[in-house]
Amino acid sequence: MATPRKKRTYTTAFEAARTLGQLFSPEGYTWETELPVRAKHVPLIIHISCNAHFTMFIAYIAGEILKRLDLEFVTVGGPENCCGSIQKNMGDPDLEADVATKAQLGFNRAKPRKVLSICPDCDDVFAEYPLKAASFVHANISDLVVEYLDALKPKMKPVNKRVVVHFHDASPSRVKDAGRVMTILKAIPGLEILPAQLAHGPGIHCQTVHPMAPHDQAAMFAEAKALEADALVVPYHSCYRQHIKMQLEFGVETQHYFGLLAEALDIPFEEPFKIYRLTDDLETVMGMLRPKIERLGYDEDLVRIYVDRAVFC
Amino acid sequence: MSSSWIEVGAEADFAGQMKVFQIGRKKVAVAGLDGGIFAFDGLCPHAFGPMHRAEVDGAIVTCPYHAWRFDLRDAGREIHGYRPLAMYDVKVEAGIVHVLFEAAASAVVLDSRPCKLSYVAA
Repeated sequence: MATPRKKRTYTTAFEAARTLGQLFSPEGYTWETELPVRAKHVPLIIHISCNAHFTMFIAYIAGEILKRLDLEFVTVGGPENCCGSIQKNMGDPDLEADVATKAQLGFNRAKPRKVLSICPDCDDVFAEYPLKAASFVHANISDLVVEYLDALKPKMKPVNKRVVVHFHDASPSRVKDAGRVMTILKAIPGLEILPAQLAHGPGIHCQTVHPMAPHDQAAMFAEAKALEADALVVPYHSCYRQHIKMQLEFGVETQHYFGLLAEALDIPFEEPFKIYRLTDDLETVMGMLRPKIERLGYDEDLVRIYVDRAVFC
Repeated sequence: MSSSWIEVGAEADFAGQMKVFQIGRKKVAVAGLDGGIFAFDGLCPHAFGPMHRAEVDGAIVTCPYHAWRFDLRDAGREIHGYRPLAMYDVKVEAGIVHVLFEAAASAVVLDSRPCKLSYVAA
């Protein structure tokens, strides 16, 4: 039976993030959706961007890294902290600026020195609409790791893998991200970065609305397979979602660079999105999720729609 | 300060429509939805998103900022348990809709361009 494709609206987009964020999170993992007016001041905020709720392990690993460095932080997420790019993509660009401002006003309650987002869209929107008199600078999550890389290096164990590094360079900020990701990967002992020629992604990231062309995607994985890569390493959660399925055809795993970092730092983590996508069957995934769906009181029919759209994209 | 019934327009003008008014210092949205006429705060209680640009599903209105969703048939209760949307009493007399407001004032209709993807139940 084909899953009814509910029209994409703010309701479905944000409810998918809310719902799948809970379903795809480690047990007991929590985040703030609304910092109180008199929030405790913390130096760092990890910002879970909207669609990054489908890949919660990234935010989870970021938090575990900060704990190992004894750094105080708070994780903020939920649609309540949307940057405004969803409004722009939905055809309401006039709402983008106010949504971006509201999110940053929320962050500012904790008076952080740095706010780190997972999604490059957030990076771009917050750069376009910076909050005046903010206590913080905003940066991509990769900036966090590079800042503390010297402190992390002694804690790393070898990760003996051969990897191809997927990247985007359509804007100066993407070029910086790619540079930081490469710096991080080169710091992981044992990792062999292979000389791939076809790992370049289009646009600013592999967005669901602007995915990598199938033939380019296949060529990238065919090359990775020919190079005997253990994994294609991706910089963004969106690329991760787009490319995981290629393992079914080419046998090359897709890993977000935070996953490799976690392996190096001995941080246990799970990747439910990957597990679900590689089953390649929606009903199997629904069976796996059913106990948690029932425990959390979600509508299974709605969850099926969200999973179909978010996972089998 | 005594409350007043404020006239906002003909009942027929609200069938399947949502309008927003400036009444005193408040923005008030008035909508004909799901067989009823409802008046509610024009700004979302979360981050003051424009409720007149809400997505509509029956009598549930969803703020386009962060999808806080309010049941207008349940006193503006937010369905996730967040803060409710303030609502105003409404009466229809001789085909004219009135909103009970906190003070005497006139209602000035504002431009209420809906969100591109919003829809209003007929």
